[in-house]
Amino acid sequence: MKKNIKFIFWFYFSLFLLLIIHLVKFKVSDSSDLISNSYNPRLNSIEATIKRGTIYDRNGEALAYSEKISGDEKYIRNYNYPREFSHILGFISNGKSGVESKYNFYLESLHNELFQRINAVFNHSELTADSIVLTIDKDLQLEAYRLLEGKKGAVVALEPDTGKILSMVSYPDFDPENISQNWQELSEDEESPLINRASQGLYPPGSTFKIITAASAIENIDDIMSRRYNCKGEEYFDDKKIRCFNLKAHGNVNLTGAFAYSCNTFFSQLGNELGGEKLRLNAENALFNKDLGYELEYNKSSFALTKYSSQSEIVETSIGQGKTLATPLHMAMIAAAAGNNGIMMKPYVLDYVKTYNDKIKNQTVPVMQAKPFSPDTAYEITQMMEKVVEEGTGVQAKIKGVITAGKTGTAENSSGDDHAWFVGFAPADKPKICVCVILENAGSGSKAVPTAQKLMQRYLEKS
Amino acid sequence: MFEAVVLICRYLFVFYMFYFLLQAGKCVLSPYNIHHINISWAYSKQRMTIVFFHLTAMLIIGFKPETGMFDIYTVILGSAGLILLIGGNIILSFIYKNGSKLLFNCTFFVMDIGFIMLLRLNTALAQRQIIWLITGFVATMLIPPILRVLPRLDKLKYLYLALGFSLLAATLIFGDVQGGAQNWIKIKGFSFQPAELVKLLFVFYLASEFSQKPSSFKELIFPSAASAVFVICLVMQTDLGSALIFFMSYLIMIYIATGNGFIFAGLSIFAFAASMLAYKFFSHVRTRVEIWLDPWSDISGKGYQITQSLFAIGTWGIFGSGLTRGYAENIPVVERDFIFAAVCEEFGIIFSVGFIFVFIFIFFCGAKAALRNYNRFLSLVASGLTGLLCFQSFLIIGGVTKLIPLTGVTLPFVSYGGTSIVISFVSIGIIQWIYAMNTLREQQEFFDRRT
Ligand SMILES: [Zn+2]
Repeated sequence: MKKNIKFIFWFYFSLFLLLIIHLVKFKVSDSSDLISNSYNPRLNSIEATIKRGTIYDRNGEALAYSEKISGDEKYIRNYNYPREFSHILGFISNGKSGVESKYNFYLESLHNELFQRINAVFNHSELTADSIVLTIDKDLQLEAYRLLEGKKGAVVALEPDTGKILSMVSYPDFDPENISQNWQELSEDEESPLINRASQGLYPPGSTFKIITAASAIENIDDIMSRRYNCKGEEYFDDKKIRCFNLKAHGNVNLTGAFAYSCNTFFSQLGNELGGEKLRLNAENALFNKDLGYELEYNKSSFALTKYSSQSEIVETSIGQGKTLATPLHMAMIAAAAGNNGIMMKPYVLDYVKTYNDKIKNQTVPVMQAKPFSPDTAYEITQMMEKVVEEGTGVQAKIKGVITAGKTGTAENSSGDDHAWFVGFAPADKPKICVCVILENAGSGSKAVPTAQKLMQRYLEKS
Repeated sequence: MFEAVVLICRYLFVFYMFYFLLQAGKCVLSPYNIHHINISWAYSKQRMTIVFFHLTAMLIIGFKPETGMFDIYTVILGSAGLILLIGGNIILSFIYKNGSKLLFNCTFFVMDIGFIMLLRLNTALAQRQIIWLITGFVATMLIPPILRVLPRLDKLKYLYLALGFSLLAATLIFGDVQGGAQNWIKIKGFSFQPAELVKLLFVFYLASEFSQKPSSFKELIFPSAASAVFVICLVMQTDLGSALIFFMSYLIMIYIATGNGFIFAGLSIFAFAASMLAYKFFSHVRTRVEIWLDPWSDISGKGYQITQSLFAIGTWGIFGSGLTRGYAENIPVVERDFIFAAVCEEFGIIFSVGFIFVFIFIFFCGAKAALRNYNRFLSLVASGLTGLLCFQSFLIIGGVTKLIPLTGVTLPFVSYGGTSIVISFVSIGIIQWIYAMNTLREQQEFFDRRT
């Protein structure tokens, strides 16, 4: 019987060891992802006597900082470029949003708390919380804001091989310093200025979705590169009439030509041939209906086709209309993946956390989020996107001395004129920047091209 | 300044824990004569550690930085708790003369940590906990006359069974629903959880049933059926935690009695299948598992409790937030089921792992009591009771850290709650008595050999 008792207690002992391992593992690795949740009451624990951390851009320029006004005991928050960074930085009153909310825990944690507190008692030094350094490039952000200002829409720029977000602007904007006074007005505004259109705005992707349809065709149809088709400017599928832009007949085209000139009838034909199931697989590989892995507020893009979808739904979807909805951030990630050998990186804005004594901690390591295209497919798509800029609908995106790749989109919608899209990257063979621009109700996709061109050019000149 | 003191004391608490465990380790190793260890010194050092721990914590909790004064009520309550725990330890060590001092020290240490946490979270409950501690303490002091006839208590198996069933049936009929489970009985405004008492009766029943080694499978049918009825009753009361504890007690005792690996494996598979069925047919089982798998999707509703607990454990550094600086009061029923999360938050992870090790030492002493005894019945009682406390602690600590689905049971010795404290206290008393009998017999044998 002693043997049996020993067995039972060794069994229980191993349960307890499991418990300890689980607890330590949770503490060391799992907990950091969870604690920044807005339901964690510890995040709002900051005392008025602690100096909230500064937010820097990638080059170390302060974007938001706290300071004491002489005579007052409390700290107040200042923003150097309040409107230009309103959506990305967010605000700390009225429920908090953006970087200020998501990384609130860092911005309120005292590194070496004991040392700082003792130092404060004897030397009257400030209690300084950790600062954070973003991946955002301040100059690019200001430029993007200047180009977008006054037009409803959004701009996203990111680094394809790391997923670093270089710039993210949404318009209409708000003033974070007066958010409390204007809260009522802002939250009831029909233009919804508090929404970050770049990551939360869901738009029909229009022809930019042809990147996905083309990838599906390349991977599923054997003779696709030699396939030719005669575009008459419109075509019936079942009882659904698909028209090319301005009813222009593109004539005898192949895949590259159809992509460059955004021929709708050709892509509808492809979609019809592929069917709902294959298109859905490619769309979901590119993270439609899936998490993007982005840490700040965003919405999932949606794709509705199944193998039971009707023919008219399939052909509409294959040219980016129908029920498909995507965010500008997501479309930028898809284009960036094409330029990055088919690998989609997890997008992020927090580069690292810097303590009061300039120690670096919590550096974000770039990781792959998805693999939407094979390297061969990515190569073909990049070639086709180069053609778009070289001679197709995106010629305005040309940059002197740099081969640029892109795709325009014109999205029909229920709210009025078409939305104008452009996604592109440069240099095409080894992209340093990928930009996505959407201008609401601006008309055709070519309207979005100059904004993207200026941003890419400026960024490449600087770096 | 006070903030700085609280932060420094975090290291002090970790040191106390480390020192206590070091002494415990010495006591365990002393029979092997690895070092020349003065064992009674080690016990005294442990008691001193408890006193210092208690005083440090009490002064932090009692100090009100706004006024620069100590809160008199907290200090009086804290001092009462200290006197009670130290006095209790000394008196019980005297009554259970040949019991394990290590077992008492460890038990009183975890009790003290629980009491300090209550004093910090809710002084009104701490005050009531003192009454429960006194009750448990007096009950443990009074049972030795009954324990004197302990070896003969194996004759009363049908009495245990009848008493256990009637208590459970009474809960089913008259029971109150508290915290989602119908496992309370209220008599004149005084409520208690019969399942806690039934646990003791259940262990005694199985120990007397198996005190003769079962010779055939037939002899296992009746106790198995009786155990099944207990478990089903508890599942019907939606008291899943207790149901699991009863099943585990049955499983380990049948294994200890028969040593049959096939029965152990077979019952485990059977339990797995039964829990699958329960998952399918009982919505309250399903809800628990779903919350466990993904508490984040319903963070403001069903997942609130466990996610708040995870925030408490996960937010601060390895030394915790510092006593009084945490936010554990945001976790619903933190004083009862979630006390471990509060300990984790304010004392930190290193201290909490040490805290688990103190529990392991308690079970080690219980296992030793069971192993050294030559009376089958007593050996079964000791291992049954220890196993019960062990599994219950595992269930709740695993639950609040999201290792396993949460079942609302108390952490023995630590959680607030009258029935739980008294029954855990009495269990330790019984284990100590069995331990003491072993020591006496060993001394006798040693003496016989000499003469
Ligand atoms: Zn066409």
